[in-house]
Amino acid sequence: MKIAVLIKHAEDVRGVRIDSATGVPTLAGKAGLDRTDLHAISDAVDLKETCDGHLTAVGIGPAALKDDLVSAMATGADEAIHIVFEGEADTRFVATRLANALRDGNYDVILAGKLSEDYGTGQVAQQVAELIGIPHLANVLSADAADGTLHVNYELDGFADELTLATPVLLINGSREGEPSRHASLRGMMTARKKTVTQIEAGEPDASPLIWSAPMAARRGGERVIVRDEEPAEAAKKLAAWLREHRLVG
Amino acid sequence: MADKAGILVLGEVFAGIISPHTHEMFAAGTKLAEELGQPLTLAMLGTGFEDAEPYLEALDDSITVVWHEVLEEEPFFYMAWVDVAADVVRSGDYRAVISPGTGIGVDWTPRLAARCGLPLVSWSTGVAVADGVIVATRDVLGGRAETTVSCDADTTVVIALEPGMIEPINIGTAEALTLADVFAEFSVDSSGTTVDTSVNRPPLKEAERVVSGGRGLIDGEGVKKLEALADVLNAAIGASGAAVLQEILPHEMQVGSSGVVIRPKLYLAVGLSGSPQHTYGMKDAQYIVAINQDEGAPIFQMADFGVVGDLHQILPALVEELKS
Repeated sequence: MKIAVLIKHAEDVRGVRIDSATGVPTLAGKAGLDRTDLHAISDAVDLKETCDGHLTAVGIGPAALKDDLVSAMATGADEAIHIVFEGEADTRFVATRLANALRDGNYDVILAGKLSEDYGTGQVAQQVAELIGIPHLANVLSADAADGTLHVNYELDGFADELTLATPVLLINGSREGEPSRHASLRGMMTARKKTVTQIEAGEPDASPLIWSAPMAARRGGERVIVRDEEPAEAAKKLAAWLREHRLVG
Repeated sequence: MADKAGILVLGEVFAGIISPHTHEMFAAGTKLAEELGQPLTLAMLGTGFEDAEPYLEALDDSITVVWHEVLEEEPFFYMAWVDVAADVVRSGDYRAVISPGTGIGVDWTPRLAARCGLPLVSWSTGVAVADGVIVATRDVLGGRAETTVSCDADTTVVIALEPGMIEPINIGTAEALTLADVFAEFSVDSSGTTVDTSVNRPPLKEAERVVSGGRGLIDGEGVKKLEALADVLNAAIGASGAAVLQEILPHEMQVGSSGVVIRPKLYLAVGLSGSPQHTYGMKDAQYIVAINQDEGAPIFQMADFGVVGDLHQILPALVEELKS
């Protein structure tokens, strides 16, 4: 079974700082794979191992995306395709280029993350499926193909259900709590360096009819304090002190 | 190229019931049509039209209504919606198409845009016209910031709304279903929740301080811990939609687009993730505090003070601290 997983080089939104005076967010410049894609990669490797398949990680983005593709290979992908593109483009361009790169690969199953956390349009995966001309299924929890047929666990209206699907098909993962079961391992990193990353030039996009403004904080807060890895009593003490300091205690 | 004119709303009718989200789309479409001075077309897609049609007889004559049956097929229910919606979109030369961002809409709206080769603004939280240009707002960076997307007047743009973010309006004589109606339909009984309403707490809408609980409360034990904190802070109790749906807290306490919108001095969010529908109701609080086990929960991105940890241990400790 030929499997592909779509990945994105996304901003780490946890590193975003908001200027309290102007409301202008500054990105930490820490971009990489976000949570939804880490789950998609993990699921794709799971699927691959049930059917002795071949997994290709595919993404469009700047030079730094290569590190994410290597990380996907270190998690278990066999090869990668990097559609090289610097700059900004709308989802039509992104979806079209991904679809072009995937179409001739004749993949049986393509997996994708639900929604990136940075600019999360939640459109690209569905549009890739549409442009390739295959169906998609959203809210997928897991997939296996041990008997050569694709079986999928997915969520429908809040309930888990199972389906046997004909291929080709694109699977979009559902909301996940916790960490993915598979990670890029050190050993994986060593072997990933020997795997192939095929580079394709994306070309120039047409001018987009959509103009996005610079993001502004919807809420202009002051300095933020996050307490983590503290004993409950200690965390409570800090929070109580903060509440008193801001005169929020009745 | 002929001038684009008119706004198309792609409404949903499920077995004769006009979806609540359709009322929000209709409100957005009406606003754009009025501000641009252009005609509005309401396409009702779905099934069971004989039940829905009478409501629309009272609609203004200037609004064109068309009905298109959608016959869903398993397992890809959305496919028939793409087919029908694409035919409707191609039948005109619209300036904007308002499309659903609800459960099944998330499946078919992106495909519709791709099939018709149109740009799509997804998860839009509001629409307006500025200098003759359609402008949609949406959240970015995990809800921490907002951006506006301006749409070139020479291109038809598809705008998918985020459900629960735009005030719904009546469609003819059809009123928008509310969450309370849905609860009644599914007989969700809030009286089963264990929160003690006999205690004299400040009213939620006016309270200076609000402590709100989510799914993380788990059960009555968690509710008791939340109540103890409310008492020591002299705060009102609020709830997330998930806590209400799971019958942990009653619907009267729900904060968000399906509940009340409040601006307290302190909003202390406990065991709730901070979905856009919830934060809509509390984002203007002066101070926001979040306690949640999942550091990735979006609520932390708007919190002034956040504690990553188990609320079941932190709440009792916090109550002790505040008492001392």
